[in-house]
Amino acid sequence: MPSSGIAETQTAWLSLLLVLPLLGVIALLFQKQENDDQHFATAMIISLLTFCVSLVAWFVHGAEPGAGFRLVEHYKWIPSLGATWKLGVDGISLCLVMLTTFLMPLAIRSTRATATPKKYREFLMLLLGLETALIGVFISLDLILFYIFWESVLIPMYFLIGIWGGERRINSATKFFVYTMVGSLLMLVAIFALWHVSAAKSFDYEVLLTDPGVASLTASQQWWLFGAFALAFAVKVPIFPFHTWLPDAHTDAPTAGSILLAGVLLKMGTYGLLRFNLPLFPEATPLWSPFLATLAVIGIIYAAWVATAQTDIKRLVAYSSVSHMGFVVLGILAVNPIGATGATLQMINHGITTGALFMLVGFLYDRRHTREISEFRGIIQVMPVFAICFWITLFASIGLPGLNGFPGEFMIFLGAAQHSREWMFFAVTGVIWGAIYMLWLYQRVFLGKVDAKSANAHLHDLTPNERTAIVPLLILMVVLGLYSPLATDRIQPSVDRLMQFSMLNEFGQVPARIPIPVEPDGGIGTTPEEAAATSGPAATPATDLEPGVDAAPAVDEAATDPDTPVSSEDPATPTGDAPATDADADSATEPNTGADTPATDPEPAPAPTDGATEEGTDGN
Amino acid sequence: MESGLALSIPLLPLLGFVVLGLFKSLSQKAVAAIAVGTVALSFLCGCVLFASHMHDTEPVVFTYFRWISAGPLAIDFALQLDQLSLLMTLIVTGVGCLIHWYATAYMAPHDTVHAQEHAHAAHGIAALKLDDHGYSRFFSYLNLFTGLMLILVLAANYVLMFVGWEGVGLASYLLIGFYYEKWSATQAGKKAFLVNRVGDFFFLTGLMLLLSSALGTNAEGQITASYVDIFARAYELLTTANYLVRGEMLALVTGITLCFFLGASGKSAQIPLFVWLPDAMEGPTPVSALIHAATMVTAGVYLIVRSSFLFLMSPATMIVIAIVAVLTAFFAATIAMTQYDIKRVLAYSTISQLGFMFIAAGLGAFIPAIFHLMTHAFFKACLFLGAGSVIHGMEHATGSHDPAIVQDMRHMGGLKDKMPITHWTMLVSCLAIAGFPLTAGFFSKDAILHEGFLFPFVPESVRFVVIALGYVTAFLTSVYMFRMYYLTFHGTFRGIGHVDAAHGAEHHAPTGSIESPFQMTAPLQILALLALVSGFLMFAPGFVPFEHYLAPVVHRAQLTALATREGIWGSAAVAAGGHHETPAGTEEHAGAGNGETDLVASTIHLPEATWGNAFPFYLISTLLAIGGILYAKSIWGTDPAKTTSFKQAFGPLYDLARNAWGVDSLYHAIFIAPGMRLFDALWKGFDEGFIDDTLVEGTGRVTIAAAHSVRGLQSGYLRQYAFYLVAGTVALLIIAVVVVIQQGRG
Repeated sequence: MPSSGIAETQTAWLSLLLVLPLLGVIALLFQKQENDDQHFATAMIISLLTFCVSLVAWFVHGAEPGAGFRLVEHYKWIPSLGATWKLGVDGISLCLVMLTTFLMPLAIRSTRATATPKKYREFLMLLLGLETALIGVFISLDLILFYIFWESVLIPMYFLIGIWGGERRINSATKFFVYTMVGSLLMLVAIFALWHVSAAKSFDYEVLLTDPGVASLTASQQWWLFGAFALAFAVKVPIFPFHTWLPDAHTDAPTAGSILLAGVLLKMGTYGLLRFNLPLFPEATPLWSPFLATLAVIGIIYAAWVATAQTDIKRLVAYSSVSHMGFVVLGILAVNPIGATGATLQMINHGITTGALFMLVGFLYDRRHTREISEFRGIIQVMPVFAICFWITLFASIGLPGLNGFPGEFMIFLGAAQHSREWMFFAVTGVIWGAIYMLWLYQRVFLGKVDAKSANAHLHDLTPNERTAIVPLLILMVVLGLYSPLATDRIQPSVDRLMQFSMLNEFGQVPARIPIPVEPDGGIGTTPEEAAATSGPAATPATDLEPGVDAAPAVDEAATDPDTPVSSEDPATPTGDAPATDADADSATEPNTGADTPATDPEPAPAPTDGATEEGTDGN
Repeated sequence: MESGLALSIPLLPLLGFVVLGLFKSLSQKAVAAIAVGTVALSFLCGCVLFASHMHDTEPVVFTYFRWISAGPLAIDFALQLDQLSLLMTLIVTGVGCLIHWYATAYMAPHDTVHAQEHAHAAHGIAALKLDDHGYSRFFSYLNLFTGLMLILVLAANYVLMFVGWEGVGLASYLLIGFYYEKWSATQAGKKAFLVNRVGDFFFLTGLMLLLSSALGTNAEGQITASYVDIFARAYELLTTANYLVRGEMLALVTGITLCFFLGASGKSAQIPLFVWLPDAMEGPTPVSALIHAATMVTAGVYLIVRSSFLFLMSPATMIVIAIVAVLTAFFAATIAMTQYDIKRVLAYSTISQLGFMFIAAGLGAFIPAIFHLMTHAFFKACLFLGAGSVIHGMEHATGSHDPAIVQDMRHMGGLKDKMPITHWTMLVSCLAIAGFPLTAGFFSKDAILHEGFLFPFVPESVRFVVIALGYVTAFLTSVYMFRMYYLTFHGTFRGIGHVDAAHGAEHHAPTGSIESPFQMTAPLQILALLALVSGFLMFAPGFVPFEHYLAPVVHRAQLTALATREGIWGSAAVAAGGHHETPAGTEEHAGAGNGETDLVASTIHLPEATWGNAFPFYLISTLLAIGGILYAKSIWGTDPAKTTSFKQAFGPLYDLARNAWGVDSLYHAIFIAPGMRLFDALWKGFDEGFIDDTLVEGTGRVTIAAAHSVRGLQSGYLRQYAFYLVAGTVALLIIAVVVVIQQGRG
């Protein structure tokens, strides 16, 4: 049985993360309408609690060394389909969860800064519902579960734009919904195709990663599946030329919606690309990456150019978002640890800075009810604090060293350069374009003389409420800029592990999927019983050098049968632990067991936590 | 202990920035004390370290924490102490401290220039809201600049250097646009930042090329971007790699160094990116002195000298640098000849002098480049501060606060008696920059032209052309500086009436002294003294001569380059060496192949400057400097009317030069105007018109139209459905028959 060291991780923190916002929704449902203060307090408390839970998850995750998934929860869910309720986080998803839970209270805070939206209760319910869906996307380890969360994000966002939006809200909301949903349909097909080809007949991400059936897909089969996933992600990111829903959605979304749309929703696309496309279809990546990376680079430059021409502040920020997400996509497609780490870090950074930009634009809109750049001039004189906040955010956004944008951008450039100098060259031009539109915007809105007769002369500076919403973001910009290891220490091991599945070696093979012969005693530093327990399921197939054939017997016996009790580390789970899974759980708790057998363990049973695979990467 | 001392050098001014930025209600005295005090303390720390590291042979690196890490990427927050970084530290903090001091009076909100300048600029109703804090805002920016500049020069790797590199650009942006109500100032600030960003783009590109190449990965397989690692790696590859690999590497290095040079040309205002510096004069004058003359603009020179190892590997880049630099120096000098705004004369003069430093760097004479950097920091800071003092005096004399009036030399004249201290300090600095014998500029400029000519790093023909044009520029320097001097200080005070009779009739010659206060004149005198005597550091009796002092930083690179040229690697050196794979670690004097260097030094020699071969150079310099002064005196010395004859003599060339050879309007016509049209067309035509309206919404419209068109099928009439059924069956049958027939044939 699991040793005591892992016991506290068995609290269902991740499920709690999903349930808490929903509890908030229910609590709001039972409140009387129009009681805005009460609604606000409820939503605030719930979102802060959620943030605290994610902090706990952060520390629990940090307490355990290793690159693999932590806090794994695994329950039976739809046995007939093979879908399970499997949640877990690694460094990458944990950072994105933190981003979500961190932005949510601030977004809620910003809703009551100057003007409260109408139908406030429903507004907050949708925001909290959105939080559950967003967190779900990042922590699902089962593809069906992932898909459900993925699509359910659309619903609250659709209503947020469609009900509380600007002039063309219905049009924008519909475009957003239809566009991104149509994009995702092929992904569902691809998910079922994966299930079909997998030897284990499973939707479990970790099983699929090492599944011989998936590994034996030909490059052209992988090409199709990659494309189906990539389309969904490309629309969401959005990658040029799938981006035109974004400026419309942003222009019409309420401020809180924009913060979450730009801050978190877009990252779903890049997260998916990194999490699913690269490691599941490594041989298709080189086939797709020239095309996608070119689109990303075009997007970086093109969106920045178009941003320069904008007359509406929010549209400008929206286009800048497209440009910046191009960097992230480029970093991922470089398929190397530097690029991918940079991309993940940049997801966080972009969430913070662009979230802050949209929040600030919202503050300005609340005051003037216009976002036309030409309406403003010299407002630094009347809103100095606002101007300073905007200024810091703007420089973070254009990647000034010392603020958070730089380390991520730097890694992405270097990762891209390691892959292709041409990509790097054109991507680096982004530092010029970004500075042009941002500084020009700042000059036109904030600098110059304020006209005593215009409405600008009577603007009031940020209220304390607004300051509490924006200052945490500013602090984070500075902190992450000065000390990016805060995030990258978590990201890097997980990225390294992902890259083991994603990078092809010089023979065009995926190192992590090539089984290496193992010593029968299971490795150095293990006691005989432990070794026996570890090698139980793993030793059988591990001697075969041919990927795709080896693990079949073990897998068939343990996992293809949907009725096999799903193991769980949670003592509360009613299912009994089968001996094989028990042994596997044991192996996961012992860091040494797998030290010299990386990637050989085909994970015969849907392992509750990372098995030997990720432990093996720790030493790297 | 030492590591803490080193860290406190950049941190102290940054701390000052934070304090001044956060606590807005500090009294003026407290602000001044914090601002000057932090920089002065940094200077003291720098002095201590300077003294203790004077005789080091290897750089000392202090590592504080891992700043960026991902995969093999391992960038540390680390500072490097060697002669170059410490000398730069002393220049930045020393001159910086004096200018901070000067600015405490110059920027004081009451009774002095700043308030009036500011009041002139600020008509906005709420302007005072921020203006209350203008004083501390100014010094917080100035401290921010100093701290970041110190990070730039002390950084132990290129990435941390880039922090300072971009950071000083930011500080410059803030300070140029300090009078934010003034639209031209905000334009100038934006322009400075954007042009610098173009340079930064090249710097980053070069850095990425470097780090993604074999040169970027150190012996442990890590990408540290540290100078020590990269140079050790370059040395290793040079000495051990086979011919083909070496050739490939050298081609790449050419690309890297050209990118670095373009980056440097952004920061140091060289062709093609010099256009921002003259506009940067919109900033307060102490800013012009500190940032746009003495320190920040020399960052490009520092970058090249710091990377001398890489630059020397690429003769092609060296040639490009030398030629671009001498053209910059020459054209900037011609422009300076035609300007009337005293600050713009100095701005173009700065560009020209930076050109001299780049000439030195391009010819491989790195030590004279740094020497000139130092002397230039003294006399140019003095000139700018003197100009500030003159402007200050002019505001008293004319009662105007319009920069277009008080900075125009046509309104000046005869100020030498009214402002005696300003006069003598500026005279000394003018002599120094003109290269008058025994002043600092004489020695440093001569060292550039002399050593540059002796060193064999670029072909002789190139050297000859560059040096010849360099001497022409030296003559022009002497002329335009004394044009400024005579127009400002000699003749009779012209006042506003000279140009604008209606406005300035009452402003005749000022009565009595209009000299600036002590806080302004004291720094002037110190700097003038330095401009007078710092040239003797060349010889430095009882001190380490400048040449020997900096030798550990660049000498090895120079010898290695020569050895590569001679093709001596491969046999003797490698056989004898074998220690070359020990790059310096942290916190200790790591020896990187001293053995080979000694060996190389025994076979390869740099030509040495001697009195004998220096004499002709000294002679030419002297003649040109004095000739220039006399020429200037003959035209502008007494009679301003002669100015027009000078103008007429050069005709259209004069007008062209006056407009900076039309580069600004050229850039506008080529890049900015078409760019904006393109961006607009992309947005409205392509993005909204084509992608969104045609493709995306078009798909939607087609879908809806298709749905409408098939809606008729669902009529609900049974007979219609029966018809479909029959028709469908018939169609299927026909298809089946066709298929069967086809198969029968096959």
